[in-house]
Amino acid sequence: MIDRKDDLTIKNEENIEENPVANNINQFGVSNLPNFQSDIYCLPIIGQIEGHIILPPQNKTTKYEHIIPQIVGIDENPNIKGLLVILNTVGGDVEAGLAIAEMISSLSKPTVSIVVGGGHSIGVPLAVSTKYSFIVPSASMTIHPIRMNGLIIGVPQTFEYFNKMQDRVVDFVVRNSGISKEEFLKLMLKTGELATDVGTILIGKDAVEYKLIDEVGGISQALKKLRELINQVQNV
Amino acid sequence: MYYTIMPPDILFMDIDKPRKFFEIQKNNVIFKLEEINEDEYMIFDIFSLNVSDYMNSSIFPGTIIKKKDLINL
Repeated sequence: MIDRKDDLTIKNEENIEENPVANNINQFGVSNLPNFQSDIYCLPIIGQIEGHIILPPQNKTTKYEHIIPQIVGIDENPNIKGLLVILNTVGGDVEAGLAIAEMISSLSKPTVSIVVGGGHSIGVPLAVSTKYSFIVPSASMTIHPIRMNGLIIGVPQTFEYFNKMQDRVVDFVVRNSGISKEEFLKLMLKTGELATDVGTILIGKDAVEYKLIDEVGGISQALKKLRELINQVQNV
Repeated sequence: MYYTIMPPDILFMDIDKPRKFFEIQKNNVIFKLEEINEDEYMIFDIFSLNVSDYMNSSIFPGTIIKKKDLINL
């Protein structure tokens, strides 16, 4: 009886591998994947932004060494007219996050971002790095001071170092969105909102009210805006 | 330096757990693979001088491949 069950399982697995429809259902949960060539490149940035240290396997990560060549490819490829960045990130490495954000902001092609789920911490500079940004009504963005784990030397230089690292993030956000430095620092250092930290959670329209994100909207609005920006570039 | 809402104890949980990595080279792409079980590997990273390799979704990091399919990479 057990042998027969094992035999059936093996046969099922073989069928899935041989049958493309069954394989699609197995891998993606749908029978037919859309098969067309889009001129918009979709770049999902999910989980933790991995920096110079390889994170343990329980973390879902986005690797900067894999994203940066893609951004170069997007700029180089004449068939790609625009970039859509989909963000659902809890933050991550400051250097890696800022590197990706700077690369996106300096792309020569139209770019639009959409925050779904969350765009927290270093996800904030990533969200504002595009030429236009969206947030879905239920998504949230947490703005809080930079923290450090490991050995900390109790000297004034440590505080100075923290301030400099934080300024890099703040300056990028201020440079690429409508929020003022004072307002952003106020949100970053706000007390009484987070249970175990200093900072603020902005949900959907709050991010737009603070001029951090341009508009509340979903995927159709984001794609429509990207098409609009592509048309503007093509008409110049 | 990490700027994340994830607590460090969760972020770095199991960081000392041994992991098996190895590299293979196919068509001028170096694949860094992680063994996830006896039969499967996960593409952990790719190294290439051609940017189009980084845009090939079939070899994105995180892709799981069976040992017997290594030859078709």
